[in-house]
Amino acid sequence: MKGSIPMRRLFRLTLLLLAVSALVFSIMPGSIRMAWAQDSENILLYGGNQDIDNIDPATGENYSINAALLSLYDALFIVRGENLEPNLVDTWEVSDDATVFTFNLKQNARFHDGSPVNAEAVVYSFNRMMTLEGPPTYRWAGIAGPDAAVVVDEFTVQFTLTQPFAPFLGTLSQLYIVNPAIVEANRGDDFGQTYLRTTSAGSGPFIQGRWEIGNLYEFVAVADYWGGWREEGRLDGYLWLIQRDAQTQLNSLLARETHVADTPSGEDIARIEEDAGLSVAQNFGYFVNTLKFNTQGEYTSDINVRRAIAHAMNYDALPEVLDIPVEVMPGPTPLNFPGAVEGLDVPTFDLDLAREYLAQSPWPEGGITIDYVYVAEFTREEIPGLVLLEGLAELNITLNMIPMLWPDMVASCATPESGPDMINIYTQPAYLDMDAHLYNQYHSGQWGSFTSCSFYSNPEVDSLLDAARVEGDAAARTELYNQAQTLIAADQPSVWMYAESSLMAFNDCVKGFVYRPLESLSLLFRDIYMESCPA
Amino acid sequence: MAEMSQTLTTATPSPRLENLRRGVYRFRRNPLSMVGLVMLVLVIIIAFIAPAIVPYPEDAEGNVRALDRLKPPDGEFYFGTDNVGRDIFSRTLMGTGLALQVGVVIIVLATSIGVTLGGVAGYFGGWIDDLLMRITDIFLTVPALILAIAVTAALGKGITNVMIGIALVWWPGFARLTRSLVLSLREEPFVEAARGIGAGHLRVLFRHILPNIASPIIVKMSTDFGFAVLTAAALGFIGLGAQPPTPEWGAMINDGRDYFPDRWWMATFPGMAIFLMVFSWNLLGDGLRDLLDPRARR
Amino acid sequence: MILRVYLLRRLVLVIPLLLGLSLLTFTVSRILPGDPVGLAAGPQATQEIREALARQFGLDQPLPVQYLNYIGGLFQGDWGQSLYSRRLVLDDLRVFFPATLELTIAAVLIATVVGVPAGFLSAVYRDKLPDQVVRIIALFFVSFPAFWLAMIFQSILGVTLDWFPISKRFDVLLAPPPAVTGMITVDALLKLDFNAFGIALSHLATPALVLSFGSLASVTRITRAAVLEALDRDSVRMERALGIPYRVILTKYVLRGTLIAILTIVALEFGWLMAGAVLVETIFDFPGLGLYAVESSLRLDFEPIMGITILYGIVFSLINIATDVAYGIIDPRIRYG
Repeated sequence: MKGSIPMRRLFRLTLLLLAVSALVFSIMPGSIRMAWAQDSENILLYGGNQDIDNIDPATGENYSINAALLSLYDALFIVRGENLEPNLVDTWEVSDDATVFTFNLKQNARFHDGSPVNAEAVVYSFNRMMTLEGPPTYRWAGIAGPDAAVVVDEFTVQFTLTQPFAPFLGTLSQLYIVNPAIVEANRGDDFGQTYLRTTSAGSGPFIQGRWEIGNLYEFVAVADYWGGWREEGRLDGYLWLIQRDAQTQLNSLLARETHVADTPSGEDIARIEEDAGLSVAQNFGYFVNTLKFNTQGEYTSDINVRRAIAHAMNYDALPEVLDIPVEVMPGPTPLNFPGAVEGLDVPTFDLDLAREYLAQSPWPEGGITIDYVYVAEFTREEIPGLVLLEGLAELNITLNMIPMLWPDMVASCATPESGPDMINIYTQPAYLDMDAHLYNQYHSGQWGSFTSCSFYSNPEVDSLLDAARVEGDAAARTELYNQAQTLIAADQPSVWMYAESSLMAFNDCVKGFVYRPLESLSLLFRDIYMESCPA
Repeated sequence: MAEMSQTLTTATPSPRLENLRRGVYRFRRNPLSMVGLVMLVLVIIIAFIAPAIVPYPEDAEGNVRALDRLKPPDGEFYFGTDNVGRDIFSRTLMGTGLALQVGVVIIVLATSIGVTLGGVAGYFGGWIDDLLMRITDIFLTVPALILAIAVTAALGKGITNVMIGIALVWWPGFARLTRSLVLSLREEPFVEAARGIGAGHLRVLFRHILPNIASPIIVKMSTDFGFAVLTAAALGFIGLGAQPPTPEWGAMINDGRDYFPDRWWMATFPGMAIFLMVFSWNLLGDGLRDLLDPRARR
Repeated sequence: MILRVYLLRRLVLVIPLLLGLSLLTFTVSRILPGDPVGLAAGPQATQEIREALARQFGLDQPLPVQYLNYIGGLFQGDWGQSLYSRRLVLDDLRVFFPATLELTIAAVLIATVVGVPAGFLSAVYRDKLPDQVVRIIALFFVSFPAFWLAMIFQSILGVTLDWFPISKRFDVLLAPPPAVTGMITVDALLKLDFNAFGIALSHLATPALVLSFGSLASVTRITRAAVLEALDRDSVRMERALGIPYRVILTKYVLRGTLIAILTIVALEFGWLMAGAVLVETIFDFPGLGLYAVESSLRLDFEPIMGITILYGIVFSLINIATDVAYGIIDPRIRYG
């Protein structure tokens, strides 16, 4: 047959081309793998819903990244439960006007390479953080520059702020200290970002093991961690398995293939609790879902329209239809947040009252369409809209549900003109102070960020919030915040809906979990231990 | 269709008519294509009468029934209910019209763009051909799904953008096909004749050449239809699709994914619906290919 | 040699094609109505943080400058950086591409092993019952949404029957064999580690099976058509007339005569399956290009999207060239030109 020789050639050619295409891109960098130290050790398997994209303390910011940073690094302070505890810090002093903060560091803290965690490292880390202006720096925006920290002596460091900021200590739990020598050695032309986004240079209780991007991450315990370990059952390491599918997370936990599953769905609580060896930690936190009105919008600038809508929301239905336990919260602050005002006059589901308010607006008969913007694919933002849609239909108001990608939502909050009539926003305070809850949402100087998408402006509220920032006296501050909350509630810039409960599913052999409302989803692996877990 | 067969018959009456008749005969003898045709007619009927026959038409528009959440299929809810208590039977049937509409828009848009560009390229040749074909090649360098994801993500979420995004990456196939068909007819005597009596280029192209190459294009339209519906559903599944509470099948499957397999009904029924629609189009397309595309007839 | 010149010419012509592709994806990604920087900067970011990020990624430059920078980088092996994770796109592609390649190859193998004999059967029993059955089965499987079928198969094979692992590429408690190609099965064989090979294979089984369904119909159809054409050839008729047993004719002449067509369709399907992998990977948490593409597109992280598109473009072009060359070799009347 004529085909035989050309055919062989063709075969070779095709193979060659396929091989070339395969080879060009599959030359994988030989990754250095940490061998498993010994057998039969305490390895915790964690089913994480989210990837750990980046482990550079200066640029990474979300719950999974934070959990990793908490393991690999130490910060000056650490949040345990609801308390802020000193970590690298031994003693500290604050000036009366809350601008100068002096810290004496513990002298036994060591980086993984054995060098001491000293004042220079703290100054270096803060400088690097502020110079790179990454996402975590919002905490210090406007109160400190890159040179705010200075070395006083080997183990003493001083921060000088450009304006008084009483909650400063709380923000330092997110200032992870990097090893200057290692960063400088790998500085490159980007201040070590290329290096640090996949390699750690810290002093924390864990170091990196297998690091398979997009798949799993291994954390290996540092046996002689400077902070010490508990004697019984401490972890020898843990594996963060990325399980993007909720059902996979559940099945793995039920099959004892993992010990922890984060963010289980509310539907699955019963299913998990049914299993004798498993339980779900449920805690109401400060993760709050709010519908923000554009108070500069065509319809929603009218207070009566806002009140009518707020009364058309069936608050009691929310816990029924959402797939997670929630605590209804029709006021500006979650009731368990320190400093929340009690007994505010807040709206209830009352269609008659809603009609009365609407009757006082320029659109007494309704007939208007309100846009409702929420994160696409996020049912917990979609469902409140559907509930509200039903109530508003009774008022002859149409709710136009617009799912958006998160960045589009953020962009729409840039100006009052582009801001949607209503937008569903989750907020969480960054530190344990009423300032973190109110300032970014209700101070008119904050317009343009998504937390202030209601474009709320009340000069009285502005001056109260500003005054509280510099007020040193605790009781006086509380009074200022009480007034502010009352004013805000009366203006109804939002439909306040609920605080979400934070869920984490555990095998009962995993101990040491203490709920931390501020960083509710980032497990503090250093405090976790295991008791007779099945191998 | 009617106009086309007229043109065909007036051009060369008897053999064409004979061909067509033979084709129809073959089509009717092919049980699979007949099944496809019947299924498709049913699907179209359902699309039109769904709002009238489903028990809970309001469930397609974001109704929430807190007490009926996640009920398994029974006598009241034939396909069960979803995570906010909506009747899946109603939503699935109400989604039929949308899926059909999505397919029609994508295919019509892609065909119009592709046939126009491909026809112009093939007819005029030269640099126009070169330019248009290079552009087509660029689109054909990447699988349609990948490009559709990129384009739709850029345009923003929503069913309209899904249709635009897919159509924008779907036309090159039609352009290639049309060009090759036009090339084969460009020098035919009847084209020369039309040009000879002074017909303009566009008239020659659209009145004389295109009617004669309609069959393979129609075959491609019908076989592509199912895949267009599948692609749209895939984008819906990824999360780039319809705006809730629109009963878009791909998005419904995505909603059901977190509940699968424990509450299997949420994802299963919309999946079956997609399958039935795509399957009936594929059966029909297979039959049409036998009927209209002589080269593929074996 | 003419072939070599032709090949070189085709390879050179890929470059303007890829440039066009990069311009296309660049344009698409920059007409975004959204705000990728806002997303990457995080929910609490101030205007200054966002501006700093934009500056760092060169997004404050005019668009033509941005494009030229991007193209310049491409040629120097800098494929950009994810706005979101800040990892280098090329590094990510190096990790994810071998996974997808492995999955695709496995699926193509399944589609070929099942599809070719099915097509053969279909042709030999043309218009008889086996033909109809094969045709309907092929159409049946290609009509399912792949992601839906993936869910069903995952729960049947992985959960109910518990035959195969439900997700990932390898047993999470074990370190995979050292990466040479990045394809775990291949790496395991290179180390002669058959245990690891078995583990990797069991993880690959379900996703590859589901993925292969998409190609079954076309492989079957093309095989059927090619076999019918070969059977129609005068030489075959003659051989039949000469009394050579039908079975011998089928295996010796017809099969060989159709190999090229089959090879061609398999190469083409390879490209399509690589795209289909996008949908299957999401279900199986299979860390490949598909998962990467979906996550990036939902985050509007456009540098990875562009990188993925261009990578697909390169792979697809190479496959196209290979098949065109194949056509030329089968049919000498076609001139390389």
